[in-house]
Parts: sequence; structure tokens; C-alpha cells
Amino acid sequence: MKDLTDTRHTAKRDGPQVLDAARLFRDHAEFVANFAIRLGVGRPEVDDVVQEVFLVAHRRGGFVPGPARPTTWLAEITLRVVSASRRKLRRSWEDADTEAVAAASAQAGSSPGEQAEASEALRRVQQALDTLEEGKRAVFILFELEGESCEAIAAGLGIPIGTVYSRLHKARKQFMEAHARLVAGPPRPLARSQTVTS
Amino acid sequence: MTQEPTRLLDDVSASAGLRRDLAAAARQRVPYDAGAGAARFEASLAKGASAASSGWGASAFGIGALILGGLIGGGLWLSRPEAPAPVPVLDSVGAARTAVSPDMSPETDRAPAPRAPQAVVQDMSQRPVEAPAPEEAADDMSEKPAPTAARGDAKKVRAGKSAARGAGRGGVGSADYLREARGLQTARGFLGRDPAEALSRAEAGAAEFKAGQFAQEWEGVAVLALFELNRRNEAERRAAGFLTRYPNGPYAAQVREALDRP
Repeated sequence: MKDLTDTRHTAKRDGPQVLDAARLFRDHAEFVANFAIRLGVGRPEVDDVVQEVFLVAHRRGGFVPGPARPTTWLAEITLRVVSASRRKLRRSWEDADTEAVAAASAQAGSSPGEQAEASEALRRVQQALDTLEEGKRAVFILFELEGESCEAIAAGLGIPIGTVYSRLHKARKQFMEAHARLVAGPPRPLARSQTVTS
Repeated sequence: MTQEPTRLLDDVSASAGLRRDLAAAARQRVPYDAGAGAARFEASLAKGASAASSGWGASAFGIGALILGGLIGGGLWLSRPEAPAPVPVLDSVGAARTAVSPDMSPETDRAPAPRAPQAVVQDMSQRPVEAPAPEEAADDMSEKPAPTAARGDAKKVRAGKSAARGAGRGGVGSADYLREARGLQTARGFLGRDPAEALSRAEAGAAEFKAGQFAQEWEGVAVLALFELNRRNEAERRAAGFLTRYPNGPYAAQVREALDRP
């Protein structure tokens, strides 16, 4: 992938370099796909969500550098697309988590034992994420798993930084409680999708 | 200014199990076929180019038209007995969709009454004006990179006359880009089953598309293939160079993982 200064994929608009949607796609499609999966999107729908996100980014005229990062800016669009699509497609997303975990376990670790361990860890995280309301879930994912700063999250999601801190605090509490319950609980049998695809 | 909180991953007061699970999740990247996705996205843009990427001038025109339309239509809208039901919207390639977000707000040029300008200003000027005829884009169907993409594209490729003009403008550059994306997808497909072939194709692709768009991806595939071939020294040397150049790229996590493996 070429450097961001590649003028073929930046547009000059009153000063700041605008990253167009094609450039964004090449740099951040995988981020969007993974963010969508962590938000609960099922594997069959991921590509459609990714395409939709970047079409919206395209309609918005691309990313203008500022306090937000391209990733947090795209996260806001993804959140909207996912939120809206979830209402439409709720039924088909029921098994989203197990499918994501199955795909993950297929590429994790080299031995079956490591794969099973990684799969369990990812399942616990995904299930704990499922207990969070969407706004908190997005902040938690961006901060804890994607390593974004609170400032960039606030700018990307268009919310005050105090709200980011507040959501993060509540999300952490809820996530840790859910995770503790999952660790203490009996191991869950593999979902059918796991046994089929991994 | 409030100090950035410590991440749970780095918080020694958090339980080891929690941190371990979070670390696994943070490392985890569910693979996304960027080559196929990019090809599909580029094809969508090319098909809808005249409507979806017509530039800033069109936006300004659209905003002006919107404001005028809003002033005229606002009164009409207020006089209506009830608000119109949501109508399908057209995305940038002219595919019908249900309105689901502000960015996918109802198509005002098809709706019976104008909406609030702020809600639609981003999309108004960039969408195709007329509903496309399904058969017009049939010759473009071959551009779809994978059967899974075809499902979503079945709706999206119904581009109108403007889309056809846009595709024409795509020209040689778009064709090269699509060819490169397909080649990359093929090379990547050999990872995990025939790393020698993956390496060979990645090297050939990088040489053929020196000025292409996927330099990082070609190199990423090559590095991963070297690891799979157990050519450790060469793999580590190229992985170091790769991570220096693309520390946050889409292949960085996989390359780091390969480096970490004993």
C-alpha cells in the first residue's frame, strides 16, 4: 500500500489533505471488518457492511485530517451502519459471535490445543462484549482492543471526551463482571458453526 | 486535562485471565480479503462514479438546489396531512436500499417532499437521479471477484446511464487496479497450502505492479510465505523491513504473529 502522500488518493480541498474513500479502503478495510465483527456482525454480512461503510465515507467526501483518526472516523460510520442494519437483519445475526470465533480459531495457534484455548478466550471476550450496549461497546472496543486514544475516539464518534470516559468506565465494569461470570461458569460446548468451519 | 486511563491489558490490578483474554482478542484479526473487497468497492465506485464521485462542484450545486428545494418544498411538506413513508434509497451505485441511517437518508429527488437540508446534504448531490434499469449493468457482472460478493452486488450493480459513463471513465487505471487486486487475491489464496506458489506470485505481482496500489500487500504475502516455507532468516529480515515501513498496515499483525512464533 502506498504512502498517504500519494496524490492519486488524496484530494486537496481548502488546505488539508482529504483521504478519499479508495485510499481509506485500502488502509482500513480490515479494521472496519474486525470492528464490525466485534460489534456483532455475522461473517456473511461483514463484506456488505464494509462496502456500505466505505460508500458512506465516499459520500461524505473522504476523511479530512483533524482530531479524529481515520479509524475512529470510520468507526462512527460503522457504528451507524451496523446499528441500522442490525434492526433490519436481527434474525440473521443471531449466530454472529460463534461464526466470528470459529473463523478466529481457525487461524489462531498452531496446535489444536492452542487453537481451542484461543477460541475460548475469544468467545469469552465476544460474549462479554455482547452484554454491552452499542455505544459503550464501541468505546470499549476502540480503546481496549484497538488501542485508540480517548481523544481520537471522542473526535471520531462526535461525542464529548467526558462521555468517552464515562462510557468506558461503565463498559469496563460491565465487561469485567460478564467476563468473570464466563470464567466461573461451565465451559460451553462448541457451536455447530465452529465444528463445521474450523 | 484528564490523564488517559490505563488499558485493562496493561493494568496489573486486573485479573490475569482477563488480561490474557483481552490480549488474545486485541491480537486477533479476522482475515478480510482486502483484494476482493477493494475490487468490489472499486467496481462500485467506477459504476457509480458520475453520481457518487462527481466532485466538490456537484456538492455545492446540490447544496444550493437543496436549500432552494427546501424553501419551496417545506411549505408543501407542512401542508401534507402526514409524513411520507420511508422509501428505498439509492446508494452510490444506484442500488435500492432501505433507509437505515442519516447517511442513507431517503432519496429526496424521489420522495414526494423535501427533507430537512442537514439530514440529506451529504448524499443529495451525489446520487443518481433516475432509477436504473436492471439489465443495463449486466455486462459488468463479470467484475465481481467472488460468489459471496455477488450476493450483495446483485443489488448494487444495477447502475443507470450515468454509471455506464462512469465505468467508461475508469479506463486503463481501473482495469489495472482490478487486475492487481485479483492477482493479489489469488496469491494470498495460496498461503497455508502452497507457500512456494504464494511467494512466487507475490514476487511476480510486486514486480509487475511496481506503481500499483498493493505494494504493502504483495510484500506482506511474500513475508508470510517465507515464514511458511521456513526460510526463517530471509523472512525475519524482510519482516523487520516490512514492519518499519508499514507498522499499522493490514498485514502488520499477521507478520508480527509469524515473527513471534518459535
